[in-house]
Amino acid sequence: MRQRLLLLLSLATLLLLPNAIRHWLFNHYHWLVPFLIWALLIMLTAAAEWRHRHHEL
Amino acid sequence: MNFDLTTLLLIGCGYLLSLFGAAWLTERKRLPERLTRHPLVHVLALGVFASAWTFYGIFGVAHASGYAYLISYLGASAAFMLAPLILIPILRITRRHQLSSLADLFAFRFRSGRVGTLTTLLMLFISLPLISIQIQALADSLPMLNQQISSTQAAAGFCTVIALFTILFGARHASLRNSHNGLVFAIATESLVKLVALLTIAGYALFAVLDGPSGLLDWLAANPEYVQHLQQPPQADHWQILLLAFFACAFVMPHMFHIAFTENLPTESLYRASWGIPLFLLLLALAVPPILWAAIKSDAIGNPEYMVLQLGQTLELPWLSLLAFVGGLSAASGIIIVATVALASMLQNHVVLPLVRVPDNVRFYAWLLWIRRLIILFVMLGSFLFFQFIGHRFDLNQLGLLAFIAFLQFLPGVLATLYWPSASRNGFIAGITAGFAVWGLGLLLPMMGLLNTDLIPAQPADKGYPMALLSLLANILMLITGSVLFPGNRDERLAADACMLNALPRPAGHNIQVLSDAEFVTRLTPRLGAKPALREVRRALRELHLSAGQLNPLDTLRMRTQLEQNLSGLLGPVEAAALLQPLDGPVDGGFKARDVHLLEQQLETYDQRLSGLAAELDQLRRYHRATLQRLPIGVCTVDAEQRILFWNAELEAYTDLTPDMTLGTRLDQLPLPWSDLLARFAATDTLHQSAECIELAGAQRWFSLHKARLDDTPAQGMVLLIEEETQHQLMARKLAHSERLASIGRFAAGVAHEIGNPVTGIACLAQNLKLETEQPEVLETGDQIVDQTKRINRIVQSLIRFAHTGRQEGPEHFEPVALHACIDEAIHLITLDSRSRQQHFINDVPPDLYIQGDLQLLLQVFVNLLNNASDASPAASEIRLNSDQTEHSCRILITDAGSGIPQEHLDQLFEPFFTTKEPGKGTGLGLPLVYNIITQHYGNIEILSPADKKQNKGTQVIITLPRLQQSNTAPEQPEADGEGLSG
Repeated sequence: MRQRLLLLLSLATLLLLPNAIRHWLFNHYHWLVPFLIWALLIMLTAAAEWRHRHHEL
Repeated sequence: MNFDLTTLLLIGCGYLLSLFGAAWLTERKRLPERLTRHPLVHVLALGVFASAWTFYGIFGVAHASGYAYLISYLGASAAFMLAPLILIPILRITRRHQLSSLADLFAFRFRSGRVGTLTTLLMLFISLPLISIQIQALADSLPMLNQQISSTQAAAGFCTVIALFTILFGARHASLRNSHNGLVFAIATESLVKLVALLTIAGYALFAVLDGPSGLLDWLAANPEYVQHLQQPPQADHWQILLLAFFACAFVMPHMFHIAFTENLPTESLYRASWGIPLFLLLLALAVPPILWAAIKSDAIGNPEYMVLQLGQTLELPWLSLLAFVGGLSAASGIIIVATVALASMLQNHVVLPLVRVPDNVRFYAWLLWIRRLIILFVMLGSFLFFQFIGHRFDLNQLGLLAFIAFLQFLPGVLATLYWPSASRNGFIAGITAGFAVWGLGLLLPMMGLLNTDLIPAQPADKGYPMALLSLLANILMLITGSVLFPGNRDERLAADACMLNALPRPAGHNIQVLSDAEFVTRLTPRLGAKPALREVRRALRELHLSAGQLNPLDTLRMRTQLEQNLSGLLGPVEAAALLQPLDGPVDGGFKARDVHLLEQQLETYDQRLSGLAAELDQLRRYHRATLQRLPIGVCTVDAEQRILFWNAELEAYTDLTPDMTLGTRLDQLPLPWSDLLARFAATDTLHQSAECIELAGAQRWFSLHKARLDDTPAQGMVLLIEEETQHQLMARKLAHSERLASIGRFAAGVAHEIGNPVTGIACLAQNLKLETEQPEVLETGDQIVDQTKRINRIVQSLIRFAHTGRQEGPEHFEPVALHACIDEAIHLITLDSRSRQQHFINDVPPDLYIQGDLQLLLQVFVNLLNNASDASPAASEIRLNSDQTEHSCRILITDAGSGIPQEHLDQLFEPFFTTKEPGKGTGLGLPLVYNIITQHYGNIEILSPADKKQNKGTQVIITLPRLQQSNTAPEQPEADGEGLSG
């Protein structure tokens, strides 16, 4: 159930909240900002994967 | 700058040969396994996503649309970051059911060969442009380095080398599920090469062309329009649909599906890819702006799609150009190789095998391999022809977008597979048909210039993207409508359950008609051939840890499932299911005994932890199961057909039949005598049956049976309780025997009393008769009468003594008795007997051994036993009496060297009037008398024969009596008589 909700949330983000992504990519801050946010997301995912590997696998 | 043709050939072929070498070394296990099986290798292999489009075409997108180029990277990154939602579940399904492609997955989920074929053909149709892009990238890049090379020649040579590599390393195993470690390692190497190449070029662009970070900042400050252009939002919101398309492409494209799911990567590697691939793509994406700006600064944007190549040419740096060329070559070759292998497996399973029957006279596995190799050649040829006649008319960017939007049409099917069990095959076919129809009419045909629309041919411009969204919506709508209007059948529902997220697959409910492994081989031989059938059956047996021979119903079902999974890896799920279909009997919807056991097995091996209420219910199930399993009484449950559902440990101990041997079998199929006992009882209306006697291993055992009907459960069967009564029965028999002896004793006392008086009268009369006559005949007759009356008196006295021992007077009349002295007295009495045969009696009983008892009765015991020993022993032999003692008891052992007692007489020795002596010599009351006396003294007597097992002779009588503690005897030891007897 938790996974289904997360999937729906993700798809909704992709389709229904374009402004968030538009703001992320096409704002007029420093040109590196989209990459920094992307790197932050990767770090979060890596942390989640590390936690999963050490607690569930 | 123009490169020498030889140099280009050497570098290009050298690079590809080095890939051959890496793959070859990996296959031959010449490279350390910790390197080739490292998760980093698996993650890098998934970098095959970054194709020539990503290496070359992306610069065209960045130049035209700014940061919109990130969409492709972000879509794929999102798919990997959300790996637990889609990638991991797909991996579990494909691994469990041995599925090797998306077509296999859909064909398995929707239980339809048509679905598999449709998916395969569509996949081939939209993969051709994708492969064509890779060929085009190389065909366009080579003439840039050497104008004498024609793009057609370059494309033909490239396709030939890649086809050779693919056949050598991508089609090595008949089973599609076998890992191609060499291929994976080579693809990982390619990913590393293209990453290093692009980062090196980006590094040179940043530090050499743009004069480092500070120089870049200065240049951007001087030319702010380039940053603004990069950050310029697109005119329309079409990038959302593109984002979704790349999200889908990350696992739907054949090469991605193949590397992620078919090559048996460890689950751990896929979890690591959830951040590894986004990081890989981030590095690739980060390299784009510096190269773009360096190209702009250097005026190397004549063809923006190849600016990474042109940068080196413009700056006249041969190494930079060659690095870009090698990077592009690795990006293009990687995807072609894997996509071709994946398409070949799909075409084999869903197009060739349903159409072509395996010839009888061929080697099955080799035939499969060669079919796949031919398909690889066919796909390569098709891709080349597509490039030659269609592809080269379009930009990489345009062709790529067209293909990516087409791949998006499979996303609803994948999500329905994982998340919507009500989706049906009709809905899927309707959805995918509608989606592709809209895609074809709205994008493909206008782009090809075959339809008159306002869309500019060869340009999927902004108006094309709403069409992509429309195709997706049409797909989803038709999928839902079709599934609601035409729901799936039972098979589909079962497959849907098996594909659901965290699914615990239900037993399939097949009624299989096979009883042994040989029968499996026989049934599979017509389609597979004798040797492959035997090999597959043996493999399944090995994997299930079953032995060959007769299989119980549960094992046959497990064999069927295992065979279907293994053959699915070989032939695809549709062919595998069709192959095993003849093994099935008619399906009835009823609850099956084996369902319970299969469910239990699946729960035990369920590889995901249950959570919440499910976990608590599972704990409850385990508790109830343990309770039943460990009950100290046999428990067996059966369904309505009397098939065994449950067989607990106690019953296993009774019967020596393990649950594996019994579960799923009918009660009447159990070995004798259990089939007779249990099936007969289950068939009767009685709920209780006591002390049924059966013979097990030559011994009699008694069991009480109870049952209760389970009418309110799905199984509609009954529970049987089996309780062993053997000990109770033996005790009851012993009690009855004692009672019989006691009654005989009472009877004997009465008889003795009644006979004694008349016999005394007869003896007197005979004496008188002798006094009154001188006739010798009469005198002799009188003597005979007197002798016979004496004999009667002796018998009567024995009877009276026997009867008296049964009085059970109790311990208050007992007094301490020294056993040694008692035995000496008995020996003395025996030696006085005129019939004594002069054996040597040896009394080794210690003088200080005392018991509480009646001296006269004990004397009688030893006289009787020694008499018997003397009668049975040869003259001058030894009769030894010795003892051992514990704290509370002592044992007296009387051992002779006589002829022993036949085995068949041992059970009857203590029965009154049983004797083996000659008529007139024994009354048959001696040993019963002994038995009674010993019992009266709270002791026990047993007789072992032969005592000397080696020589098979002799008898040993063992008397066990409670021992009198030393403190009760020594101080007041009375001297009863001169013989030293106490009492």
